[in-house]
Amino acid sequence: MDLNHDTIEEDWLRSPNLAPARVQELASEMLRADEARMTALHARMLRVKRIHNSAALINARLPLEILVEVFRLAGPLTGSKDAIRLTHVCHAWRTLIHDTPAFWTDFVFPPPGHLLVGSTRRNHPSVVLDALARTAPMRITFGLCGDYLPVLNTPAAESHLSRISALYLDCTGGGDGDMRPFFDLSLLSLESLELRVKCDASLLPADIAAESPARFPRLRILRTTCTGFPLAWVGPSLKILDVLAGLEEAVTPRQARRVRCCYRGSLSELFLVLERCPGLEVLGFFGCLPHDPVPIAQSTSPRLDHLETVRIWDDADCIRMFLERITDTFKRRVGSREHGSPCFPPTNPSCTRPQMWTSSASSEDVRPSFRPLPSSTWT
Amino acid sequence: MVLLVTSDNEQFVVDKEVAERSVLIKNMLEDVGESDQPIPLPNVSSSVLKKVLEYCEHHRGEPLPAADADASQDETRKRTTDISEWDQKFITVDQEMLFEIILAANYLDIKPLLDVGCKTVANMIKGKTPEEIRKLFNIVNDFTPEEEAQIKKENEWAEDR
Repeated sequence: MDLNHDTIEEDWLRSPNLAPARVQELASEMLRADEARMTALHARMLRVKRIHNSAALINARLPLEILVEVFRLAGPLTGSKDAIRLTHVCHAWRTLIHDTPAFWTDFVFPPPGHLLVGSTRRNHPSVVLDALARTAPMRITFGLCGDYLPVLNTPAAESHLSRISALYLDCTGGGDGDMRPFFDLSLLSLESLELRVKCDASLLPADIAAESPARFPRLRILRTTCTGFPLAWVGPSLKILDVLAGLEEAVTPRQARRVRCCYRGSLSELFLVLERCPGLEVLGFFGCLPHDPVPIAQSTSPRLDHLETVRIWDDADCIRMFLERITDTFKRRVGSREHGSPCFPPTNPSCTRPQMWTSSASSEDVRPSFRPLPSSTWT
Repeated sequence: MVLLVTSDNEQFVVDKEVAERSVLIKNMLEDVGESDQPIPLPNVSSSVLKKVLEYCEHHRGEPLPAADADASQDETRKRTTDISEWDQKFITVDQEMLFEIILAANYLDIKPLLDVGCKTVANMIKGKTPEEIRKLFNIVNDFTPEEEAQIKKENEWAEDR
């Protein structure tokens, strides 16, 4: 029987003339029809809501590229929480943001002053993995804390690792010290690595000596707070090397030496590292030069023919020893200066290169920075 | 002096230095050379152009941003949503006018004004809950139940931080 559901009254279903089985059959038919109407109504409401939203001034008037710009300013460039919230406003915003890789590249490397991925108490890998996936196909800088390293070791992240050209890794926070997953990552496209780590407080692979420049064949920039194992990655592609011992705990090189996690025992060891990067253009040392009274043969000193800028913050004696033992070629290029006295690079861009910037421990107010990249002290 | 004609056929006689804050107008002037021809601005109404010229007049003589100023990622990252006091006061208008100014700045290629507009909208949004943002822009929740479920999960993460 074909029923006209709109005309059937509920009372009719209660008629004593209907068999119970028939009542249930009719009631089920009515419910199915009502549900179909409700589904259709919900779908219509959704469509109407979206039409309503598309007519909202901000959506109707602003071109998508400007909306994206606004979203980037209000979202990831403000904070990851704000970024996620923006995707919860309406369907159009969510879709647009999800389809905008630039928004997510900001997300995975937020500006200074904001939380790095992973600097949380609880892990939410799916959000990070989603964000990482949405940065495709762009090459990215990824900033994260150590507790998120296992996330990068998942199959979902694996296909994105080749797009990471720069990595900022902070392993100094509580719970961030397990660096072992890092050594399993294949980051063959990595060109810049900024590593905040204290090796004496970190969990590292047992066979760390096996690490070599082959791990990061394209590495051009290495900034590290540890004078130990990261220097194994120095290779021929390296252009910038900054070793800043002591993190935020140290303001002066002297303090840096007190709090540094490790140190190279002799200049010879340091020179062996520098010999592996003959194309080095910028060299920075803060509080990490060894005191090495042992004379070194000239042949063991590295040739750094491309060196343009040297920034050393250390005791005057350490600086003097370092510079005295570097090759004649290099000495000629930097010119002669009174070692140990503060000497800052000229701001005039037309100045004659190479520059040398050295400072002795007596300059208490002079301290290099790990910036502009974000720090672990983000709030 | 330069003669600008708006979409509602109003004419504005503007000092060349002020008008050339707009890259579009600057290029047009360069193209036509020395000429008294009026420059039509079919996408800008007189009320909006008045505001835009007020901005250009105030910032007259300031260095214009390089064409590729925001090209690098670093440059983008350095940006903040800070707005100078005068600009803040200038841009304190209703939403309709704000969006019109942004559109005009985009059309006329006045990057600093476009930045001020975008930052202003961003500042209106920052720190607000999705519901507050919806209210601000007269938007309704139009998510499907599936999207709602996903959003709920994401919220647990966002609110936890």
